Amino acid sequence: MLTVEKSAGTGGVAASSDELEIFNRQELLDRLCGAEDAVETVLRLFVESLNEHLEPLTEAVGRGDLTEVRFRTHSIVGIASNVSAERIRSLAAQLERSARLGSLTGAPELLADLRGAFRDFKSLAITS
Amino acid sequence: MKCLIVDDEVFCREFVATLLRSTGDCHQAGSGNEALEKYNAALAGGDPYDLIIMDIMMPGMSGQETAKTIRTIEKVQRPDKRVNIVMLTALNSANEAMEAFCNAQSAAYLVKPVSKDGLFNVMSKLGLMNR
Repeated sequence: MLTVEKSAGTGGVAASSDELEIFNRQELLDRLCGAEDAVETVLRLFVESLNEHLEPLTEAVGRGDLTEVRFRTHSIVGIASNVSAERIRSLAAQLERSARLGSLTGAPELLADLRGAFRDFKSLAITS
Repeated sequence: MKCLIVDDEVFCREFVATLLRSTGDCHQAGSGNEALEKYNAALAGGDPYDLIIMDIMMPGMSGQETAKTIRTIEKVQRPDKRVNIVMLTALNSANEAMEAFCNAQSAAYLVKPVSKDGLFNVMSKLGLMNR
């Protein structure tokens, strides 16, 4: 049996990242079928995971390591989409796309925006 | 139901495990090689997995390569019953996702973000609910 399930809203980046939502708690809750108790666990894991990716990503951008940038940003795209951190997902996807195309022009600026989006996310999503 | 979640990203494994927490026995592997070890151990122990949920893009052995290896092992050791493999992807290109999905001979693929409804829908279609 072949079954394909696609989620909506994760395609290309049509809107500017600034216009995208930092965090959509309701969407995450819906994805977890209303399991409120799981939300805090998932958010804590997300922050830990993103912290683990940001420093290696920063170093990889600094030395122009396209493979590492692609790997780190791909991971961030995956985890950010799961928690509905849309701005972070979009910025990481832009950086991943640049790395795939073989260019890191503008990467330091995107990385700074990504760090800013992460700070905003923590302010908004983490309650304690 | 016995399930193996394979993803190099610990967050993604934990996220899927959270979605599946009411469905049975969930194990995790952080790489293709670790997945093969756990798959073989379960097979040797007479308690094979019912479902493997696996990320396509992993460093080292990819999900696609891991799935193909599992199919090769099955042909010899378990030709009567193939394990259900659901591929996970955050790939931006639908064509890449579909190619990986077909090459891995998986039962389904899910595009991240994964939802409980989406996952349970696939599992239901594969006849894996209420096991």
